[in-house]
Amino acid sequence: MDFNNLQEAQQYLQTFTDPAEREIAEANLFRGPTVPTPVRKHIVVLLHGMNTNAEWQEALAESMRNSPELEPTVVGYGNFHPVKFWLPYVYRRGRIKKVLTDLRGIRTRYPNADISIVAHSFGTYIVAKILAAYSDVKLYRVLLCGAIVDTDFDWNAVSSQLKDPVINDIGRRDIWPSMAKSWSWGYGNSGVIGFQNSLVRDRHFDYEHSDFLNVAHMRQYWLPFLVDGKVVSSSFSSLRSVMSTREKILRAFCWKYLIMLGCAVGALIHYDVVLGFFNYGMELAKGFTAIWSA
Amino acid sequence: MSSDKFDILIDEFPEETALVRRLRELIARALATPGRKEFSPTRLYDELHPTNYRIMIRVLSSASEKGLLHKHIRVESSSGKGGIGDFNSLIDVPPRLYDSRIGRDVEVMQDQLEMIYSIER
Amino acid sequence: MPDANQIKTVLDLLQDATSKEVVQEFLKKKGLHHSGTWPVVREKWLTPYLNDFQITLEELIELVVSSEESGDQHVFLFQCSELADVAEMFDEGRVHAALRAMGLERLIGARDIERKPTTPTLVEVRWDGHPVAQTLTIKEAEVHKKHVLQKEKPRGKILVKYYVEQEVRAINIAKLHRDGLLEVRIQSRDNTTKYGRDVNRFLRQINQFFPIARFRELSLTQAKSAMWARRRELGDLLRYTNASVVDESGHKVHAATGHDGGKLDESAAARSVDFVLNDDENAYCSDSNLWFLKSDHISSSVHVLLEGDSNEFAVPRKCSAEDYEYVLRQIRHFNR
Repeated sequence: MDFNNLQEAQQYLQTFTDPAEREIAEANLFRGPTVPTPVRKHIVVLLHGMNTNAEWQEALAESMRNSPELEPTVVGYGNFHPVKFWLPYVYRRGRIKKVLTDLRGIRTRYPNADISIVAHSFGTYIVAKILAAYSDVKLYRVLLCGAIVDTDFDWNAVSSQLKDPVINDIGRRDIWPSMAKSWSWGYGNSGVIGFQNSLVRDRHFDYEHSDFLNVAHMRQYWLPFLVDGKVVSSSFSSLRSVMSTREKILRAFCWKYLIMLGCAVGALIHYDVVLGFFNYGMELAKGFTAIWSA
Repeated sequence: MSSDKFDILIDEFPEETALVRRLRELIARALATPGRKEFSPTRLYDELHPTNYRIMIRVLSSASEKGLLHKHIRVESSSGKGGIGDFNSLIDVPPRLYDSRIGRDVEVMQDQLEMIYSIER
Repeated sequence: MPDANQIKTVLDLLQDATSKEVVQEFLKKKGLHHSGTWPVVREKWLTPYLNDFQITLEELIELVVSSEESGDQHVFLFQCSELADVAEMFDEGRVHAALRAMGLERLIGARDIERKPTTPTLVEVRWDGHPVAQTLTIKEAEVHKKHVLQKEKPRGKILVKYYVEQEVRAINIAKLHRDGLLEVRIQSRDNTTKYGRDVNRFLRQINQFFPIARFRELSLTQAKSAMWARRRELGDLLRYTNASVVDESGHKVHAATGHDGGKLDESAAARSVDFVLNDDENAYCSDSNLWFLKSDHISSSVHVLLEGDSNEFAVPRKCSAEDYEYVLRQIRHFNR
């Protein structure tokens, strides 16, 4: 036992909220020598998706407590409303900047540490943007799930910023990457199709968008990768059925162009209404200009 | 004994398939004769030949969760004459306990605590 | 003539680091008188011998160094099966580079026998063996705090116990052998039998020299079983005072001599242990308390406890480096 007395050991165990992790921590109190913490710090940044309080980050951080090699750090960018998510560029830049500042802050505080990232959904978009635009950001291990990064993302251009191959966990029943690509700009459906790139290991699961975010999956598939770089294969990868043509079309169909076309057609049909709005807008602008000049 | 549970265990720890198979054999051997069988982690380390102690604990923890074996925390009498109480968890161990081996209450010290895994039909 | 202060310092260190018997054995090998208590050995033998140059301070310092590394320890054994990995760990260039990066290159061949650092500190790195190094040793010094009861004082219905805190230099050793064996020797504490925390901490400290992920715990269960089974034929080598066996139900049989100097081997109690081992194929020797007996190979009897973790044994008393090496060789031999 590693504590001064029984009461201290009991208090330590009571800090674990996950019963499975508490069991392991308890067993570790009785055991002999263990694999020790490496001299080099390994920080794992946990980056959530949009429109979520990201409880999974706390759950993953908890499951890392029995792996003293890892130091989890939860990074967030606040709740990202779907409307902001849809609008290209305007609101995304601020979120990217925020995470970039955090990453640089971690690097400044721990110049010799290894930094890995686990990102979900919009978090994956942020990671890709940062890697592409900021060559000073270097990462040890990268794990993506529910990825909405373009499948054509140039991983080779950022290969010098990566130590190990990237893991991309794919949910076969995940509709959101396809929706993101279809309804907006700048996103991709790599969370469904995969990158099929030599620097990325695509791993398929029979999951929906957020099904990865459970402790059992994290413990089985993520921890071995984060701790040892070990890629645990998914049995579903070889068993999955080929996507039907209908599904391929539905996923690939770009609704955004249809909407734009619809708006253009609507504008042409109701030209007088559109012109009326335009004239009203011009009168308002003239009025404000007159008041301002006075 | 459910082979499904062992299959789930292998799915959970695919890189430790050999260890899970040895665990299955050990449990089968224990269940072949009546009575409760007990193993210390040290003994299990010898029987299961894990890659390392840490992975063995993870596998045993998961096996215990699935009901394949049971984990206890045992308070041993300081007289060395045997156990005086088994508990499901360290958290459940009281600060004082009646030591039936010597016939009086004692304060439970860390060195008296052992972890035991048991298998019973 | 050596300085009196220097002599006192070295003799104090010697008395802290080892047992009187080890010092007496050292003098005996030199053909010098050696009997008596510690004060006698110091004042009647060692000091005059130093003044007469029959022994040197350097020799005594050497004795301190080797003695503080042997005995009064719990030893944990690990094995690396990849000899290429072992060769890499032995590589002098690699070790020099690692120490240089830590600003500790001065530790190579350093001789530290006095320091009581407030936190565990690496104090020495050395290769031993000619012409090819056979072992690589990393030494760590720390301070153990002992609490010695001074007095008890009742205050009404409360009993107050007063303890004096004493700081004692403690030495931990990690020694890698050419065949891949890693010994981790942790100095014993007087308030526990569990050393998991100490081992973990020390392994972290030395991980860049001996990456523990490349090692596996070396179970000594085979040694326990083999030595007990052959105890009669090994009667000149071993003396058992306690033996425990556990059957598959977790039931235990303990056999112990009544007298500390007794021998368990031929007794009915010992045969009851044999009975359990023979009756239950899943029964095993859990704990053994034995002595390696003085002989031509070992200068004095060495007490060994084969208990605790699967890869652990303890040498509760200080012994000479040669005697320790002999015990380790025997345990490894029976563990095959």
